[in-house]
Amino acid sequence: MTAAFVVVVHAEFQPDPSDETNALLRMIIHNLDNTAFGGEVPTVPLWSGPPSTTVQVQAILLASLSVSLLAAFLAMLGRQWLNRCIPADIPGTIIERCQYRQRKLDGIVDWYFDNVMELLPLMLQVALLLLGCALSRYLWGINTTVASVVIGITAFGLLFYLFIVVAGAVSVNCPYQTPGANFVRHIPDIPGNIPHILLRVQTIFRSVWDTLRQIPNLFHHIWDTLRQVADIFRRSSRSFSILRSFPIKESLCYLALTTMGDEFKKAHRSPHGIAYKLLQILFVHILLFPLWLIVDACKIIIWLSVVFVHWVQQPTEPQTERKIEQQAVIHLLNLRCISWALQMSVDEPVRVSALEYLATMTPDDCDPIQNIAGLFDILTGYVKVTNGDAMVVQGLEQLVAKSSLFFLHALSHLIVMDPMPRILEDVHRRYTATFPFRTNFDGLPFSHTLGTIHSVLSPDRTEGLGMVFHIEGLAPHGPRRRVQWDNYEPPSDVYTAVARALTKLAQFGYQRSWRGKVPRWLLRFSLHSLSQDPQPPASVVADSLSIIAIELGCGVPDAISVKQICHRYVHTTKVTITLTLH
Amino acid sequence: MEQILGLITNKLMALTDARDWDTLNRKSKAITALFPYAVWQERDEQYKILDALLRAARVLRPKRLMWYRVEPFLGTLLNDTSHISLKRTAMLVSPCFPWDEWHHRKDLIRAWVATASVVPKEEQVAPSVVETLLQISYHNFILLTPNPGDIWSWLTLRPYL
Repeated sequence: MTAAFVVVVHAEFQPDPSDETNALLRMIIHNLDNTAFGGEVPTVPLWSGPPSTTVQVQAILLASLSVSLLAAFLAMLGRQWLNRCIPADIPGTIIERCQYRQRKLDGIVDWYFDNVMELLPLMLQVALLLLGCALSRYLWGINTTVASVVIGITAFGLLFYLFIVVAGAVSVNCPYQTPGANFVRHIPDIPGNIPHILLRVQTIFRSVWDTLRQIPNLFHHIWDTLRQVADIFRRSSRSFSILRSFPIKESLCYLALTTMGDEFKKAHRSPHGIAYKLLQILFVHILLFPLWLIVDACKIIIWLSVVFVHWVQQPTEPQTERKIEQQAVIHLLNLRCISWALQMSVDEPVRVSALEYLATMTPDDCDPIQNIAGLFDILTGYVKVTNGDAMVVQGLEQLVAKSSLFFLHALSHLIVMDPMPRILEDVHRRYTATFPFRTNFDGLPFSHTLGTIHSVLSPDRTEGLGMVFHIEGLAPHGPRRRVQWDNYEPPSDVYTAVARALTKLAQFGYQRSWRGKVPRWLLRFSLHSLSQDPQPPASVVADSLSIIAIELGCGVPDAISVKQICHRYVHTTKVTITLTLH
Repeated sequence: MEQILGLITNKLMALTDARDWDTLNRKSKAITALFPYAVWQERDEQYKILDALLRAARVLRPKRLMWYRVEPFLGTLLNDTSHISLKRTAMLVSPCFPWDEWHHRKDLIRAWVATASVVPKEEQVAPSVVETLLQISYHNFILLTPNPGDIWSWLTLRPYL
């Protein structure tokens, strides 16, 4: 349709031949009868180009046409992309197929595929708007009545679009959602997001700075490589020199001369020695030349083989590193698959299978940002509070224990990293809505882990996240249950993970407390751990001492490194999960 | 771990040398929590942390330390028969105990007396034993009277208190 209008308007870009014919006819009539046109003398009009209105209209129409064509092009490409994105017949086992799908999904997120696809309807809408504007402008010059109709309908369409944008922005449940509505809805969040934006900018600058700091190391590495290459050449040349030092020529000369008889030997001492010398030179440099050539060629071949052997032996280490790196990538991929399954699946066996796989990992393998939502869902899904007592769904105790430990680990990581992200705020709000202030976790085999989580996420404004997220009306007065560490002797892996998490919480508590104090229950954990005989694992002792050191105000290097560990997660994570309040 | 221990020791030393009462009082819970580990370190012949802790404890008043938290540990320490070094450590730290509150604790006092009886009489330990003995006798002399006279022989060492 746009093309049809373009053709119609395009006719005005050329002079009309009938105008010239008419002018000539008028001139002929004027020559025949001077009075035919009164005093007017007809002339042949000179064409001075199309009118400016026509140019404007044509420009807008062509812009509309281009955008439409671009949208068609994008639609075709999108069809191709989607065809190749997830084919129906993926080969391999179920794990490999899951990994494949996860990789594709990660690619879709990383490359903003959804945003690109959303451009398609947006471009068509823009093309339609441009067509409306061009038509209105074009018809306004021809007939205002006709133009008014087009302008009215175009204006109505535009106003309707603006209305649904506003409606979609105001109400999330409004079915008329558009990209514009999404943008408008987030405008009030922009001031609140400034710290996050600044943090992101800071992270980018930090990574740039880290990269710049790596440059000397890179040069050092290149220098090392060059030194290694030089070393290889040195070693091979040493082998070469050993070969060269072998007296082949002399041996052959000696062999030849001894076969020539005594007379030549005597001649060597006689005045005819010169002739003997010449003969020797002739023999050595001409007759034996091909033989030396072969020998030298053999030496060069041996030297090159030595260089090759050294060269082959060198890159064994990078190959191992590459293998480890590939394993890490697969590991991260599996974690994302689990995270996806935990978040999206409502199928109980699928969630349990994902958790069982998660149970084979250690907390350090678990990416906090990706998994915290799924772990929290398990916690709230399988731990129910009845009359103030927490109870676990029968048969899922082990899985809940594992998920609660991982959740504590993830929580402590996030708290140390950045205690103000939206995800933590949502977790905090949902937790306080699910678990009452005085929930009793006694009797559960992992009551200490849950108690610790409760202390962190409780609405108490004196400790935990309650200090950060002030939720009005949720913190009742009166005493509350504290974590009691007496007789706490968990398996060493659990002990290590809990101690690690508590150290981070101690650092958080110390920094957040206006008096510079670590929460008492964390000090009691240290006391309990350090009182045990035999002593707990070394890492637990170290973490317990770290808690005391933090309380004493020592600059603990280990506690500082916690942030560095957390940054690893932030750098590797590209998926951000947003929890919604149920 | 050694680095953290070094940091803690240095901090305690600095606070003690500076006679920073206020900070020591505020951090008394952390100092108390450190106590068991310092004792285990003494068993492994690492004396620095316990020395620092004892110096801090002497600057603080006994009541300021949260002894009730470590009471089960102290009972284990005094009744332990396997390590003589632990008994010696128990004697070294005993003056810091709040005997004015524990003077009615027969079990603890008897355990302390029994421990003091078997610890070798060294000049380093003698001041601590005698100081504790005087504290207990001041608050509850009767509990010490049925004990063998050996406990009083510590006084013959004439320690410089």
